[in-house]
Amino acid sequence: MTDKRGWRRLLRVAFTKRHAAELVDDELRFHTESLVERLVAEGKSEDEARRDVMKRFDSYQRTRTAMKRQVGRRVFTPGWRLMLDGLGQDIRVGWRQYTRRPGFATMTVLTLGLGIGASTTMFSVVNGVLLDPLPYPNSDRLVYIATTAGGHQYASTTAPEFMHLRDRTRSLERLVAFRRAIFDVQLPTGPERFAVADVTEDYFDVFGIAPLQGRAFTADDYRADASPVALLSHTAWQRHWGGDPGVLGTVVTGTRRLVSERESYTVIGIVPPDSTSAADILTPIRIEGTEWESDIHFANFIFRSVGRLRPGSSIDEVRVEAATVSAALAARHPTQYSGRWRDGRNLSVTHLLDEVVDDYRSSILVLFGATMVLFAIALANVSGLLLARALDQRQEMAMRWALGAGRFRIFRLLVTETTTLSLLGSGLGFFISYLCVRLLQTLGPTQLPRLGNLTPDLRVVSFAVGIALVSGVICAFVSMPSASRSGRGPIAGGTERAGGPKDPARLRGFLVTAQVALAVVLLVGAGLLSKSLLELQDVDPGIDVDGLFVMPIMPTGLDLRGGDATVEAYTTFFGDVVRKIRSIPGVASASWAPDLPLYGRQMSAPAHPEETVEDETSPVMGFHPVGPNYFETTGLPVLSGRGITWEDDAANVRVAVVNEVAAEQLWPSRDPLGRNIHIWGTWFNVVGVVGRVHYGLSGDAEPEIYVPAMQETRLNLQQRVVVRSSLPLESLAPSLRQAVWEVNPTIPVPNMEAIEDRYSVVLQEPRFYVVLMSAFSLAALLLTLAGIYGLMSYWLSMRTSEVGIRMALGARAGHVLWLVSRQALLLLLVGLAVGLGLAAASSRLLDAILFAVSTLDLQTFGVVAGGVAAIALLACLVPAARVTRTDPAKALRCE
Amino acid sequence: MPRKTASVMYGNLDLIIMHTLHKTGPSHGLGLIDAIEAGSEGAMRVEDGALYRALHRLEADGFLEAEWRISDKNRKAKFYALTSSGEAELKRAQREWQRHTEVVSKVLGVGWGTSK
Repeated sequence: MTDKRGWRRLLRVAFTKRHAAELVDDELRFHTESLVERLVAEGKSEDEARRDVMKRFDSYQRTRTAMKRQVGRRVFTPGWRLMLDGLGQDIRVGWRQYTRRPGFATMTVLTLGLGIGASTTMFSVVNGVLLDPLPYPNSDRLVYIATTAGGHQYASTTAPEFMHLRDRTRSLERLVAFRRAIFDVQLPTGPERFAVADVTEDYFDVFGIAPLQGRAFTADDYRADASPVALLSHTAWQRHWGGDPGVLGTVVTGTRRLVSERESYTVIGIVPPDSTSAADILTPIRIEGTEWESDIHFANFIFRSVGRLRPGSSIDEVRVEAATVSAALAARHPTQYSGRWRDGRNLSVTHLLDEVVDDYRSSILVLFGATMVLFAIALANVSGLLLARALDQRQEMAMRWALGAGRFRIFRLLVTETTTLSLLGSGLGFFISYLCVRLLQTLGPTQLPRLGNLTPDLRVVSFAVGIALVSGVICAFVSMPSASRSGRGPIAGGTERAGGPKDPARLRGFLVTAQVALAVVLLVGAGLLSKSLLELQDVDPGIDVDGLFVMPIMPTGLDLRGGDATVEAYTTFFGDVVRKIRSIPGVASASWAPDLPLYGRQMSAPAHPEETVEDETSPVMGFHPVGPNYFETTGLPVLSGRGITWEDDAANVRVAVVNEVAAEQLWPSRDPLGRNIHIWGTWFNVVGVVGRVHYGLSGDAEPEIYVPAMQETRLNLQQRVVVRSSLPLESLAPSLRQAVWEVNPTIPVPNMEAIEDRYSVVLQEPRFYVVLMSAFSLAALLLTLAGIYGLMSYWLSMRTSEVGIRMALGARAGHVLWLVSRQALLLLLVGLAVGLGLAAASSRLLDAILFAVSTLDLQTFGVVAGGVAAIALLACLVPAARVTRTDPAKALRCE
Repeated sequence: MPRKTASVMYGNLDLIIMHTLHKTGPSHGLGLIDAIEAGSEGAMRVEDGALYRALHRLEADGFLEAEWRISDKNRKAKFYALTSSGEAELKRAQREWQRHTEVVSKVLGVGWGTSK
């Protein structure tokens, strides 16, 4: 419509409806009067002429009413309303279609609902975990600094690297560092273990947060002579002080891990929840001056460092600056920048959000991809249904074409229909995803960050609506060619046979092939993950986890300067604790160690046998200073020689027990007993060999060396006391705690657990992937089967009479069965082959989350191929067999 | 097959109206009926009611615009003329019709029943 008309219409709005109606009468009057005049001039009487004129209308009154309605609408409805009227009409048409075929509509909405529900669920996870900004102002400007060296990416950086970057950077507004440590606090309710974060100046400014109560640290708090102050975390404040604001100004006293001295801090504020430091208490630390540049600081990767980009600066500028700082430091401290572990040492700069979610990005994206594949299958399924319906409707479409509906008009009708359906599906899907997200939040692995953050925000809603609209348009496109082609067909009569060169059933066949292929991809993924989980569950940790309990203890108040005094203090403390525990009724044995199988390795060392000298190729082995009776307690079998006893103390010769793997590496096919190994400048005499163990749930069993804790000066400050008992944890816990407190009442005893429980926590994440992937692929399989079954039934209905004739002429049932199903079988084979190819190409994506399973695991591929073939065959043959059993006479009458 | 001809014509009434207006210039309804009849040498008679309904529909679609003028017999009459979008629509509809008839005559030439 032109602008000119638009103006005119606006002016016309001033006219009344009645006036518009009068104009219609004027127009018709001119018509009739002119004709009457003409007829009278031809010699008819006026009455006769009037009757003749009225006869020219099939109904004068109807014409008049229709015109008036049209005029009224034109005058009072703007253009967009007219368009919407058309839309309303289309929706009404669509609604009539579906009330006529409720089964079709229900199937479509359910199928799309399933596809959209699954993909929206995983999009919620992508959105909440990967995309949602961190809860800080302008959080996209926060960057995370860590060290890379010797091809290894550290999780954190060191004080000197932080200090120099902070002092030289121009692209960062501010840069802070913080280290976490343990702070055992004496509260009126008993000793509690706090995580303390020592933070440098500007911590609150970098994150852009303000304390909930009280004040932040000021420059004065960082002066060497300042009185010590601290801020409590919201969580600690709630848990231990019940949110009492009276805590401000009080003094918190405890013992720090790093200095092992009693320290007291005056509480000056409360940190808001969700702070990145994840500490219970914040204290100031000043990193300034050359004393922070010693070798020990260069080797201490304990500082996490976060910077805020200056507005207008890019992260790449920070990277350039970081490289410059590293180069300058390398020139001043060459020993810290060369050698096996130090080559190419530099600082990496990433967005803080990436640092938080990096470990989970690929697995979440893979799962999201899986749901999009499921969605594609659902879409193919619905397209198949639409194609079938288009065939049913070819007469109706032919009628629309004949009545002058244009290609666009028909397309719009189709789009309106399919979009209405897909929006309904989207509504259902959104509901499904809401429930699923809730389920994920309860079942999801506790390690997954920000899982509690999943709220259906605008982005999630847009996603659900967006893919619904896209699917509406795609479905309309898919069914459009058949709709327009059938338009060229006859209006009435004539059932066309399937299989012609332009038959939409071909497209349907292609869709089914695609569904089979995609379902195979998902099933292979689920298969690989399941096998990986089975492998994980089958991993023998090497110890007897049943009835084994662990209690992490960090003694405080001991002389921890290292050397013999420390060893003695530790031996005395843990010896006392273990002896007390062993006297508890129901406890079989107890010992201690810095680490345990399944809990990760604490220390590794390069070791070489006496026959060789240490060089770069010396194997690195796990190094574990453990208490007496460690092997008896954990159930790690002693294969030959002896274990570690109370006699292996500082007064006796240094001994070691190696595991099978270490023995094989150090002395291949020779008896290790009595031989010597060299570790960190000390010789150890091998007195025993123990079995294989897994410290983490990944890879093969690794070489491990056990030495008596009572002889070792390199002690971990935290030790794990292990206890073997037939009692349940609940009844054991109080007496264990009491045993520790009898030795030293100021030591907190947190996180006591049964090792079995640890096992299930470790398996939580892989199990989570398996459950999701299996659910998605099962849904995919069901949809695909429905697609195969539908296509098969359609083809068979086309050929019922043919089957009848063949059967009547004496064809054998088996032959007919082959005849009617070979086309479908071919599609299945092609789909299967393509699917296996796609799966082989894409299963690499799973590599990071697979354990001990190749991404091209033949067994999995075989089982999936066989399974899908068998099930699909069934979906094919069941309807086919039914047709061959029908009475030929009945089949012949079908047409 | 008189029936089918009628339905084809009915479906293409819009095209016929726009084509005639394009040829004759602005005209009122009665003038159009006469012109269509004359243009088809008497073979085509448009039903009066259908014509007026079509005119009003086309006007609403923006393909025609109307103006009240005094007719040669000194009566007030509503004259219709093609708008620029009407001209464009006419061209498109003519092309479509061309294609449609080509296809139909091809199909008719081969016969309906041969496609298996």
